[in-house]
Amino acid sequence: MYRFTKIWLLLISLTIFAFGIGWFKIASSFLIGLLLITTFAKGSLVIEYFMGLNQVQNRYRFIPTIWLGTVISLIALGYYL
Amino acid sequence: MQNIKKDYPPGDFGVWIIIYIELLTFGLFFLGYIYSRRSDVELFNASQLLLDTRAGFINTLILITSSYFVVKAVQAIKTLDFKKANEKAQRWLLGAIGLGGVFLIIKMSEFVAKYQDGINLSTNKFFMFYFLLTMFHFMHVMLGMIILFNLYQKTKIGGYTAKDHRGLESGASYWHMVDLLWIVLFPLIYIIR
Repeated sequence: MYRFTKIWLLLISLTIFAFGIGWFKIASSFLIGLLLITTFAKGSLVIEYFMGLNQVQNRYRFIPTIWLGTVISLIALGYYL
Repeated sequence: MQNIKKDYPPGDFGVWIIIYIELLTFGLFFLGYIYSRRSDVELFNASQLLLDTRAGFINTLILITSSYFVVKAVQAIKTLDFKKANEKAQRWLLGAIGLGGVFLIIKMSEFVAKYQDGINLSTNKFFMFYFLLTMFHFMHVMLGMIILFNLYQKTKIGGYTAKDHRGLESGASYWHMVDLLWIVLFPLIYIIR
């Protein structure tokens, strides 16, 4: 159960990082890239551990992960291009 | 030791169909937002400055923590003995419902503040997306809270065991989806500029 507490703390830390970018208005292209990567990481942690999909067959595990990867990639494309 | 994976995701398969549909729907809204932004970046950036980033940040912490509480409730049912498990799960679920309530209050106060400033759905394209996305998500939080309350009621009568807790897992999965959507929504609407 301790593992879930560590994941929760990691999610909180990454959220503080995201807030820092917004609060200090330091949204450079590099930091937005980093923000999108950390958003993907946060979403993956929720999918894998909170939803418990790391314990099921890959075909079910990958559906939300592919959704998340596609959405974040298209957001990145929409932002940078 | 070999790690044997389960054939199906936790909970009823029906709830996963709903989750996939919701993800797809929100995904399209997210893309609608980011590609509309391209047509008028300055308007979107200027409008975004009118949002309360602190409220969005606090609400993200709240939903993540609430999701964590639901994980703890499911873990309690899976690992503890019957009586203690339901008691513990009850407390975790009540905490998750309480946090969901705080989320709704903060979000509602944001909506009210915007309306008092004369900002609404038709102010501009940014605020159309802001209200559409956050109100749609708001409704999902409300539905999630109703589901969590039903799970809570069932734990009060000792309705879940280590072997039979599919209903709890279904509700938990839905709540995690609500959290997952906000995890993408928060940086998209409040931070990316």
